[in-house]
Amino acid sequence: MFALFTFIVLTLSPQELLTKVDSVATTPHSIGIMEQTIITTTGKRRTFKIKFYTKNGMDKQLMVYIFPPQVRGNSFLIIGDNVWAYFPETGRIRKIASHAKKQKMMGSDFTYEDMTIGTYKKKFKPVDMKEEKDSYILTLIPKENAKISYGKLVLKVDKKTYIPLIIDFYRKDEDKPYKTLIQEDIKIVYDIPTPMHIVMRNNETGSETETRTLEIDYRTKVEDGLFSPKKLREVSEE
Amino acid sequence: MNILLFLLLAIKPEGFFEYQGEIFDLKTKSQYVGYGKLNLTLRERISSTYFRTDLVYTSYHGKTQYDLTDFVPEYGLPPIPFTYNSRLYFRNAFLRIRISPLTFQLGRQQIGWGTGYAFNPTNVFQKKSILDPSYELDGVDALRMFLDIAGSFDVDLLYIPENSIDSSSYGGRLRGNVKGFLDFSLGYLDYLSTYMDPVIFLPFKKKNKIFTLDFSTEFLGIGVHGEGTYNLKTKKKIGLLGIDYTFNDGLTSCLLEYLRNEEGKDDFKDYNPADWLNYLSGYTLSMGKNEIFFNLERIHELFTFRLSSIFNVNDKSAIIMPGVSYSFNDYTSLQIIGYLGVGEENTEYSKTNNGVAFRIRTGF
Repeated sequence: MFALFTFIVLTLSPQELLTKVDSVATTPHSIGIMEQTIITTTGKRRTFKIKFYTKNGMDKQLMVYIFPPQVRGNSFLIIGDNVWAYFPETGRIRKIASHAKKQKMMGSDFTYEDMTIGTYKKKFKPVDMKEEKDSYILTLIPKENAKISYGKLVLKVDKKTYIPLIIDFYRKDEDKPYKTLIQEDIKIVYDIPTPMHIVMRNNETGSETETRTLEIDYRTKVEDGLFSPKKLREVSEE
Repeated sequence: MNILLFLLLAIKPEGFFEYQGEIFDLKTKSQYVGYGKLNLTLRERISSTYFRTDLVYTSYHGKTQYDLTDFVPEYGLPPIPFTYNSRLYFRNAFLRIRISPLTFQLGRQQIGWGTGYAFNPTNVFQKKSILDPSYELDGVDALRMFLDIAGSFDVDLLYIPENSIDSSSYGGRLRGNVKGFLDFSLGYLDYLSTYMDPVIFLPFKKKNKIFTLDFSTEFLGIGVHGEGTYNLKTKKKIGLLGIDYTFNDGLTSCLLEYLRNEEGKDDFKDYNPADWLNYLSGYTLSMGKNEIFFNLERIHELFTFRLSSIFNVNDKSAIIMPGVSYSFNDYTSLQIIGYLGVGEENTEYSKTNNGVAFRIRTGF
């Protein structure tokens, strides 16, 4: 039986592996709170707390900043490739254009583009796969029509959970990773493997952003109506 | 008193304290004006009801008494005094009740119409300062109703009561999103606006009827937004078109907005005292017919460097505003901004008092 299982694992094609990676990440819905700490190149720290709601994996995301007081109520809505931002100071809801998606989100090492990647299969195609003792190394390049600024992604995928433990982000025509994402402290929450600690490191500047999940709930249903630009002001204020 | 104490204990107060100081030139003399401001926010959601109040106390000091005529060219006008008075007021104080598909919002609130950064022609109830367009605005006492309709569309109806029903303002807009690509709204307002009487230089009110439009989308990856009004009485149009772009480093971004204001003048020699007083009192958006606003921003970790400028295309005057903001920690930030007015004598922005302002804000 073990031999058969090993055989099945070994015969996983890059496309099948990508499907598995995506299916693990595609939870029907979630509500939670995360703490995000930006560590600057000089070692200064800036901490945010963010309440988040997701639906259909990461296809629909709503993030509301609840701490510190300076940014309380700032919020971002992501539906597929579209991003809207709401800033309570001005009361304006603005759609973020494609060019602006290279911008760091609230000064973190995550760009708006990183947040809109969603499922890999939609935007990337696998071009290489290697097997290691506990993981697969999967190389992805953007599909022709995908609006992606990265040249390639290299994922180190955990064999047990199919969660990418390390993702290297390469810019186009560069052979050193520009950024590295590390996902660790994998916990099983309601039968769903969940990385509780995520670090995005900018290898060029040395800055990094740590994200720690403080609370997560996969059971409470999230209303579809929540993910609408017209609701953004209301949700952010409350 | 007990109720107040109960409220303060039951609802966690939050808000900010801010100190702002400004050194500026007035009639070749340097002056200083400063204020301390406490904004205490109380908010709570109870079932389908939500309320929010922002109680603000502002205390001014330094040069607080002015003569408005010091800011306009020599017309031989009598003195028009105004004073920065310390005051306690509600910036917001509203109740929101949701009875699906309706949402009612009653009380002092942000209107928030429009997509422009420097100017919002469609938000006729709240006027931004061109020197600080992103600063919080005082709310408007309004009764508002939102009606969710199919998909990503809704209707926003508002009523702003005045002394009589006839003089009250009302209107609404249809707001929607088309395939995630285009946000837009179309509206109509019958509202009471304030103007300066050109003879006696006192404010008077009159009714206006306007159609409004705003949108936000992208073209070739560049953010495009715009808004405009058409006045059914004067047949005059005011429109704004803006673009924003982020450079490849992801840290540098710029914004450009063009304002076409048919209520403005082509030639600065046609500016009259009422034009100046209307502009200084915030009753009109600009004195020129064509104005351009530009903002270049670069983020460097906890610093944000900024260079903004507003340029009156007709009279060739401008204000140049370099600025920097720094975040000390999670609670406190500092902002420093300089103002420099350039242009021929008696043009719109040449009368800007050159100066430097700093603002420290601590949130709690």
